[in-house]
Amino acid sequence: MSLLQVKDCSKSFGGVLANDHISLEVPEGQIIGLIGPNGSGKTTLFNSVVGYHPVDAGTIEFKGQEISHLQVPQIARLGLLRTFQQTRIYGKMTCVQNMQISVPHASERLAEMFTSFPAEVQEKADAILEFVGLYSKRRLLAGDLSFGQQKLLEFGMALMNQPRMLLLDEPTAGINPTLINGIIDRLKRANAEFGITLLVIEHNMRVIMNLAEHIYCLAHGKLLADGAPDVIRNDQRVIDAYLGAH
Amino acid sequence: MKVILRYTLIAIAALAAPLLFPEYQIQLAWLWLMVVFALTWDAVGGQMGYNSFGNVFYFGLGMYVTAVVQRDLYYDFEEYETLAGSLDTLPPADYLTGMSLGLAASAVCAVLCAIVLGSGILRLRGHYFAICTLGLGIAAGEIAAGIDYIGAGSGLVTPVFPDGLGEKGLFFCYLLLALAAVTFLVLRWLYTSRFGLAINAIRDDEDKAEAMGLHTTRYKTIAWCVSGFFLAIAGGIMGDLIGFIDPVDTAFAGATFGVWMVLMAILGGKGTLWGPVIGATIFHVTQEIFWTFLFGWQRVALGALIVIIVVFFPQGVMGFARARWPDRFGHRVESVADEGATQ
Repeated sequence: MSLLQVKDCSKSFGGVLANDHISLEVPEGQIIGLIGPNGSGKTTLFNSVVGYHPVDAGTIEFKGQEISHLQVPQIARLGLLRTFQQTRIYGKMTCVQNMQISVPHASERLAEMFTSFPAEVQEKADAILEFVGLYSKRRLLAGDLSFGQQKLLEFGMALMNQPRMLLLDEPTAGINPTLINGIIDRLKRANAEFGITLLVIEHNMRVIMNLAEHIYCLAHGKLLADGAPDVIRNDQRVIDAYLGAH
Repeated sequence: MKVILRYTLIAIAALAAPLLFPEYQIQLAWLWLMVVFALTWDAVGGQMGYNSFGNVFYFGLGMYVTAVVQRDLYYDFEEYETLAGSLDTLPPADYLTGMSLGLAASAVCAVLCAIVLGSGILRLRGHYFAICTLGLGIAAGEIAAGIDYIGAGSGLVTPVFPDGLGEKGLFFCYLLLALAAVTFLVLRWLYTSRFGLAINAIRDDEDKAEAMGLHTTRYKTIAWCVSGFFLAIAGGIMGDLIGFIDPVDTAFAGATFGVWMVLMAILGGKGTLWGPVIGATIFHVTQEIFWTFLFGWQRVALGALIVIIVVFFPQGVMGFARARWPDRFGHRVESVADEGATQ
């Protein structure tokens, strides 16, 4: 059974049909890609999945549970997490604090809210900061980091939350080519070592072809094609969509 | 060790001050009140980033609840209303019992109100929250002025301070000092816990905090409750110190106390532990100097001070210090050796 199953999802904003009967499946443990030209409805689909807005029609199931009526924090606590296209970190807190507060909140009791973080959390935060390569900057304010480093921190925070599945909205946008390789490598390791299922929106074809096992392509709010990277790369409809034939 | 030494020195100075300068006892009592104002405002406005102009609501609420409990425990309502100040003073033990019960009741009321009001108001963000809380303070004043049971527009006299408890000034000075110290220590502890990081996260990016699964509503409500809890106790104490409660000028005094608490926190540095304490001290001392030496122009001078604070010290004293010497606040690259790893 798939970890995430989107069935016939539609969402419109006024007269704009942003998602038109989209169906997709993300099997447990895989890396799935989501591509499409600007304005094709990728981020809308992400927002529907994580509960930012209700869907007009269709169902979204995570771990076999219907989640389309739940709110953002509830879905996050189920283990379905997203990162943002415009990187979002807690700018006036240090990197370590950013990591600490990102611990899973699913089982948090009232009394626990007033305790300090146990030593394991500290060790885990340090280990993940090491993993994303920010250990030496851990005492700096997150807002003082460069854009690329903030992306890495945001990724680290997501790992700290121990999600079952991670939705990544353009993880390599605006990052210099050298750092991109580092990010691809870390995403693959997060999938292999931490067992996190990934659904990735990406515009950089080299990145997505390298990363994903299966790719869905959206255009004008509709699902245009899906298949293995090689199939998608050679699909005439996908090429047309990107070159503006539609 | 340095921390313990610093705290001990401050405690000694604070305890000795009213004995060394007896003529300033009431002024010192007001200073500690200002510290409580700034600290409790900063918990919500600074650490959590919810700029509230309505925190004075809890102050006024505490003032009224404490006074009403004291009155109804020991006096007849009719008699009290007509004779008020000329009635016999209570025996010290009764006065203290009434006051403690009143303060406890006001703290409970404030927390309950914070939970109820918070569940609605804390859903608003940014300017909308600020405007809504501004309305809260004003509405409370107007409503209080219409309730006969609490003296309506003509105000409510609080029980007279009895003989046998020492000097009034000294009593209230130490009482408010104790409150300020407890408030400070409780907030200091809260800020180092998970709660502190959570409200900081809400301040920096609430959408992100929600997306990470934080119980944001729960954290926000707790912060609002903590703030209300201490403000209500401060209000109850001040009611007895001032001796008379006017609904708009002392209890729900949004234009004075309500604005001052914001200014003091900003002056000292929003979102820092010591900032509000420093801000309250600077503000109170300056204000008293204006009152003494610029009498007649004191409001103008205060206005000018407010403009100077907002324009030149938007980060406050502690904020300025942190930007100037980040090292001292621990914000530094840890070792140069593994810096290459991040590139």
